[in-house]
Order: sequence, then structure tokens, then C-alpha cells
Amino acid sequence: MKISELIAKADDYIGAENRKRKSKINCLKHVLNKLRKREKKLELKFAEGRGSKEKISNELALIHAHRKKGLKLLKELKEEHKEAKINKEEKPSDESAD
Amino acid sequence: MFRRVVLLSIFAILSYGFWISPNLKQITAGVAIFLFGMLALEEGFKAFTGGLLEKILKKTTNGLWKSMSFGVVTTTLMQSSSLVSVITISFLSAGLITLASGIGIIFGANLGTTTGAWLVAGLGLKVNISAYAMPMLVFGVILVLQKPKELKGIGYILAGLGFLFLGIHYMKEGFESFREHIDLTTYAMSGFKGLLLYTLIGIAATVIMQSSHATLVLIITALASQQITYENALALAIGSNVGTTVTAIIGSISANINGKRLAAAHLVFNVVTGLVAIALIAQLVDSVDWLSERLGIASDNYTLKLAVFHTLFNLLGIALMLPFINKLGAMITKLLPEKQHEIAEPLYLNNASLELPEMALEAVRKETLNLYQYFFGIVCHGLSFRVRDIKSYLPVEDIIKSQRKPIPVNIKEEYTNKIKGLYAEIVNFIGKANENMTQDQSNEVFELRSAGRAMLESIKSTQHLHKNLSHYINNSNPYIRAEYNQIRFRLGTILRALSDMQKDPDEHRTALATLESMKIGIIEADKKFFVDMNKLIRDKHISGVMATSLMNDHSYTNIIANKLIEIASILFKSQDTEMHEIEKSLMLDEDEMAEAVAARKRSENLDSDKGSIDCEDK
Repeated sequence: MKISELIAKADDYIGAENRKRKSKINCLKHVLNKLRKREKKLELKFAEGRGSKEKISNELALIHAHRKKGLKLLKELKEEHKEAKINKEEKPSDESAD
Repeated sequence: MFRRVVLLSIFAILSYGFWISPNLKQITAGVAIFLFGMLALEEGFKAFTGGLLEKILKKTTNGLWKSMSFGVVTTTLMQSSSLVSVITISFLSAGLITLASGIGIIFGANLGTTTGAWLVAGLGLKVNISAYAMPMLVFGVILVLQKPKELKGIGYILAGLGFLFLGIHYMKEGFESFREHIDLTTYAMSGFKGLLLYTLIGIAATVIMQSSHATLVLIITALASQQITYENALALAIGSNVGTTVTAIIGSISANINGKRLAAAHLVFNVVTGLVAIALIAQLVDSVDWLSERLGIASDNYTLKLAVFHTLFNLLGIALMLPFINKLGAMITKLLPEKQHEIAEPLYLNNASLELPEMALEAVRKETLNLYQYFFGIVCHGLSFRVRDIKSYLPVEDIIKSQRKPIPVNIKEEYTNKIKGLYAEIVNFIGKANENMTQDQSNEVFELRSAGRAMLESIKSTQHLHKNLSHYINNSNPYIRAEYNQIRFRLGTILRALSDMQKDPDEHRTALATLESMKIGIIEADKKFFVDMNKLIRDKHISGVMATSLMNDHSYTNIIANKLIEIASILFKSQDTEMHEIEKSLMLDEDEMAEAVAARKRSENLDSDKGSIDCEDK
């Protein structure tokens, strides 16, 4: 690996905006994972007929909607991250063209 | 009164001393400057609390060796075992570390404080440290005048070190001139009598100065100028080690029972170490000589030998007490048991944590959870549930069926004894702690305060509801009985959900979705209630009086349910701020919630239709 690439990688890691986005993505993944686990637990409860079916059904509906919203947000964040990466890679070549 | 008398006596003795000896002025000014330096140093380190220090403490105290090393390193760096003990007490009071870890830190701090003797004996007396003190003071004061908290902190640390060096310099100079006029060695006492007397003097000096470090520096400087004998200096060092526990004991007065237990452990450790050192003084002196020879310390370099002795007997104390650390913790816990209060008292609010905003926030959070435990019990009893049943896995319907008799409870009295006073303490503490907090921390404590307020309001509604509920759940009319049991079921399921939520560790908790579904439950129950009640009136199953009571109690039920959700959304939200923000961004508005529930119902209907078609086909 060239030194310039190494520096770029380090810059990518250190970059505050990027780091913030990455941490947000990780957090979101964790939340989605939590929701998925809860959803599975409730589905099992629902299937076994434990507790109030209506209540469980409502919570399942909401968790499903939360996850849907979360997945959409995750997709957006990943795209933003990708775009920022592309922009960064294009920048040095633009400068060299000048 | 006693304190005032002591203070006045000290003033009188010092004034007389200053009058008869100008050298005493220099020595005591040295001690005063040294102590002032320590205060500045503590102030400086406090600037880095509220984040870094707490994070390090949290990560490095989850094991005995780790906590001991932490005690050694921090005390070496800060040169103040008092600051480390006070922080440890506040951490223990806030429930962030265990008593065993706290004892480990104190053991480590005792060893860490011996580095001070090495520094003073090794460097302080040989190098003209006052030359370093001046620039340190200048740079320190310039930095203290800066606005950023961190720069101010560095300034205090620099100025503190400057004052420490200056204090040592004055003490050294003072003793050197003192030697020319008076020879204190004429008061030297040898033998066991001398050992005991000088140990007591060491204890008294440390109690007065509130710093073993200052006493030790005084002993070393006096020893360097041959004003005291080596033998007596050893006894003074033992005394200073015992006397230092007084600072921790004073610090624990405002702490909770755990803080008191830690101070007791500190006292036991230092007294045992001191007694062992007295008992084995001859062997220790021989060991010091042997070790000094190996370390290349000259046989007449008594100041360094004193540092070796100080380290050696503290190490001996740790080696002796370490195997019994858990037993010591258990013994102290037994001797200082948790009081069973009829009147709830704060467990986590103490003045020690007031100075560290992050600690204060944690204390408020824990105390609000403590308040919540009492609140939870009162609401459960008000609805004729036993707390253990609600916290169990028994279906709420079964609990209602099995518990038909009302549980006798005086809600007003419970509220006065367990909620009102404790909440007042929390509000009072928040008022004081808020001064040093950041905006985010302030918002957080105000949120916790509003959770407490919601508990108060909820209890008032429970009190109103309790009257009719106790009357009607035993009523001969099965319809009204069923309606009140329905109220119990509604609130019982919310209480159960809250209990489950509390049991879930933070990293697995999905509070927001559960709370949102509860809100939908309240809206649906509200609609159903009026339909059911109209039918009961129409069919003449309940009287007009019963209907009025039911309507009032229905609105109390709604208040309690909504307040329970509000409380849970504050107390059981994700502790990680970023995670909480993400969860909040996934929350749904009313339309989205309605749409989600409707979509689920559609799919459930489709499934059941499909199921019935399959059955018909078969």
C-alpha cells in the first residue's frame, strides 16, 4: 500500500463526519438487532397464545414499522457514506488535473 | 461547639508559637502552602472529572487487582490519597463500584501515597525545588485565568504543584534555621514508650492537617535537618498512616451506608497495618537496612530509608489483608447493616457526589429508581396486587382471580413516609447539583425530576381509585366487580410490562415500541369502556351511582396508565445517548401507528381466512 493511500485511509478513519456517520450506522444496526430479537420473542409468545393476543399483535405491528423505518434510514446512511467516500476519492484526482 | 474550641485552641497555640519563634512561622507557613497546593491540585483534577476520570474509574475497577492498581496509579499521579478516597466513596455511594473494589482502591491508594515520600526524600531535599515552583506558579495562575475548563484545570494542577514545591522549600528552610536555635532531638524518646508516643503525635498531626502527605513531608524535612531521630520518624510515619483515615471518615459522614463501610474498611486496614508495624518494628528496621543496602542507599541516608520503611510496611499491610478482603467486606457489612426504614431515606444522594456532575447525575438517576421501587409497591398495593406477583411470570388474569380480597394499605401514609420526603430530597439535590452541570446533564436531571413528579401524581390518582376499587372488587354485583377487575387487569398488564422492562438489561431493552403499543392499548380501552358502560346502564346491570364511580375511576385509570408510560419512557430509555436518539428517530406518529396496526390486522385476517379455506379444502 502506498503512503498516500495509507494517509487517505487514516484520514477516512479520523474524519469526524465520517466517524459520526459510522457510529450512527453501528448504533442503528444495534437497535435493529434489538428490535428483531424482541419481534421473534413476541411472535413466539403470540403463537403459543401466552398473554393478551391483541396487545402482542399491536406491539408486533409497531416493532415491524420501527424496523421498516430503521432499515430505510440505514440504507440512506449507507448511501451517504458511500457518496462521501466517492467524493473523497475524486477530490485528489481533481486537484492533480488542475 | 467542640470544633470551635479546637479551632480556637489551634489558633492560640500557633499565635503563641509565632510570637516565641520566627522559625515556627516559616515551618507552619510551609505546611499551609503545601496544603493549599494540595487543594489546588484537587481542584485541577476535578476539572477533568465529569467524563474522563469517571470513565477510567468505571473501566479499571471491575477486579481486585485492577482496582488496586488504579488506586496506586491515581494516588501517585494526584499525590492525594484523600481525593482518591473521596471519589471512591462517591462512586460507591452512587452504586457504580462494589465494596470489594472500593477496598481495593483504598489499598492501592495507601501504597500510592508512599511515592510522595520517595519524591520528597529523593528529589525534594536534594534539588532546589523552589526554583521550579516559581515558573509553575506563574504559568499555573495564567492558565487558571483562562476560560476553557481544561486549561483552568491544567492551571490549577501546575499552581498546585508549584505550591507543593514551595511549601516543601519553606519547611526545609524553617527546620534548618530552627536547628540553629533549638534542638528538638533533646525531646527524642527511645524504646517502646517513644514508639507509642510518636505514633500518637503522628496521628494527631495528620488529623489536624487532614493530610498524611503533609505530615510525611514535615517528618522527612525535620529528619533531614536532624530535628527528630530516625527511630521517632518511623513512629511518626506509622501514626500519619493511621491518622489519614480521619479524612475518609469525615468524607463518609454525608455518604450512604456503603461510603461508611468503605471508610470503616480504610480504618481497619490502616490500624491493622499500624499495629503490625509497631509489633514488628525491629524486623522492619532490619529489613529496611537490608533493602537499602541492596538499593544502594547510604546507611546514613535516613530520609530515603524512611521512604523505604513507609513503602515496606504498607506493602506488608496489603499482603496481610489481601487474602481477607472479601471477609473484611462481609464483616463490615454485618457490623454496619442497611437500615430498614419505615420512612424512606435517600440511598445515593450525598454531598461527595455533588462536586462531580456526572456522579451527581448518576446519583439522581439511581435515587429516582429507588423512589420508583417505593412508588411501584404503593401502586401495586393500591390495586390489590402483591409486588412479587406482578414481578413474577404468572398471567395477570390468574393473579386477579387468586387475589380477590383487597390488600389493606394506607396510601396517604405510604405517600408521606416513602415518596414525599424522598422526592423532596431529590429535588433539593438537583437544585444544588445543577449548578456545575452541562446543558445536557441539566436536561437529564430535569427529566428525572419530572419522572418523580409523575409518580406523585400517579399515586394521588391511585389513592382515589383505591377507595372504590377496594369496595367493588368484593361486591355482590358481578358486573361492577368485573369492571373493576378489568381496571386492575389494564393497570396490572402495564405494571407487568414495566417490571419486565426493568429486568431487561439496557442493551436488550426496546422500551419505545412497548410503550407505544401501551399508548394504543389505552386509546382502545377508552373506546371500549364507554361502549361497555352504556350497555351495562342500558341493561340495568349497574346503578347510576356505580356508573358515576366507574366513570371517575376510569379517568383515574387513564391518568395512572399515562403517567406509568411517562415514567417508564424516562427511567427505562436507553442509557446510551446516541442509541436513544436513534430510537427516538424511529418513533411513529399517530397516523403511522394506526397504519401499522391496521396493516398487521389485515395480514392476520388474511392468514385466518387462508387457514379456514385450507381447512375447508381438507
